[in-house]
Amino acid sequence: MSEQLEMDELAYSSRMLDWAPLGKLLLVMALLIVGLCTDSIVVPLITFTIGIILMAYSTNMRIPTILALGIAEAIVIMVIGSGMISIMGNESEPALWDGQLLWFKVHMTVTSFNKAWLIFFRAVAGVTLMLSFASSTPIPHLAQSLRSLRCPKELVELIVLIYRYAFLLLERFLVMLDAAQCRLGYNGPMTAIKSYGGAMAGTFIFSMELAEKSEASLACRNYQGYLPIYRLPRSMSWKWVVFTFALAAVLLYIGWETVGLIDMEHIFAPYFGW
Amino acid sequence: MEGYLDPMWCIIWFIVMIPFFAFGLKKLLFILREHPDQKMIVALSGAFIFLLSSLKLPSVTGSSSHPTGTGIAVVFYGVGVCSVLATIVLVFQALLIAHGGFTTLGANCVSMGIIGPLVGLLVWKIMRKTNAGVFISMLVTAFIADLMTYVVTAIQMTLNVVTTNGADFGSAFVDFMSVYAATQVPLAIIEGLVLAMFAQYLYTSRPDVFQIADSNPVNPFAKEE
Repeated sequence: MSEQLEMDELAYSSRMLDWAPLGKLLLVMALLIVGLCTDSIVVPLITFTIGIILMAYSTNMRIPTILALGIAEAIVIMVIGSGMISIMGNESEPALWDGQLLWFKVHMTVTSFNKAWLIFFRAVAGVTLMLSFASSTPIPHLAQSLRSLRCPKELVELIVLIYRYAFLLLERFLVMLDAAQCRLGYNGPMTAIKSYGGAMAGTFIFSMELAEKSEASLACRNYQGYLPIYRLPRSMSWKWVVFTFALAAVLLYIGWETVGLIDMEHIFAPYFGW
Repeated sequence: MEGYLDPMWCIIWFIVMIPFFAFGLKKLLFILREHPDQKMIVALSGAFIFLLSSLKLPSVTGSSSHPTGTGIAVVFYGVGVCSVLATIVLVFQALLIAHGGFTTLGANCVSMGIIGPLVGLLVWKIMRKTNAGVFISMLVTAFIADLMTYVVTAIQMTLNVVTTNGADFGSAFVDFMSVYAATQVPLAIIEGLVLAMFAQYLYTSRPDVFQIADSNPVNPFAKEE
């Protein structure tokens, strides 16, 4: 959970904080979709580079260790996922590798091998793009943008309230876990499970009491379903739309022109004797 | 993870998600407009699911994983509201830790916010009808809801690999399931035990909460009374 706290702090200290949240979201979404729409590895490589540059600019190259570990964990998951995809080829096609690995039936074909690499690059590019957005956009700014898009006000209000209360509950939950540790609450698996269960029940009961108190205290302050933001984020200008669509069009064109330019099977062939 | 699904599957899973999400949202808006005093409780429940889904559980293999938290949410609020809360939590996870993602939001919501909880709620109802205690009912519900989430995820991954690689459905599904089974079955048992302990503590201190839980309909499209 401390990743969330780190990310929240990072977003508020970002150099891209003043950029329009909707503009950033449009750019990231467009790049993600373009990456999915082309079968060229070149496009995910370009979007990955854009993501890294944006993330470096946003964080001033000060990525917290816990986030770096998070990225490393994501890459391990991607490697396993892509590896799985690479060994599940079409059995009517000739195999690069056919056999048994642990309990898996392996049938790796040129298509499945190249597809796995494409998916791996798309996933890595996706994570860097998402992190560039996440590390520069606090949730209240995004909620403000959703309001301007005429999302149901109750839904936006709920998003803001969940976000605010999540950190309050987290604080209480961490205190309970620390208290359990002080009482040797993790001494053995069953004791640990009991401690987690007790802390969760305590946090839930606390959350219900907090809900009653918050309802009364907000009503006393004439709460009308809107917690104001005094430094409003910028709204998206037409320049964002033009730039995003132009970039997407260029990337799509590059994608169509470079399909098959990077053939991972050819690159790896000398090492595996294919 | 972002980028794993082909555009066709991203769109299909979004289409599957939309009716559940729309009905859930309608139900949620109805609750919030008719009973504004419930707003804080729903918001705190969402925050609680977010907290649970961010909690790293110790696993027998020495690694760690996250509970879905939907086993509890669906018992207390039903499938419709659970799908909306799960979607908000998934968006937070995508935005705060880049887990999941926007293009895979539909698929993640179908597995974690709709089908897993729906089956979990069905199990809860059956268990409660047979007069099973809160502890054992929640243990089985959370276990099944967690497991079903990963069964659906395995189906989603299999369909994706069948259409992109031309792989055989049966063997690809067995491969994906065997990977999930190795890691998720022990974790589902642990999550079930933790949530069962939680439910037992809660039943002792706030039994009124379970009266609301037992009145939730299984049908996600049932009208709010």
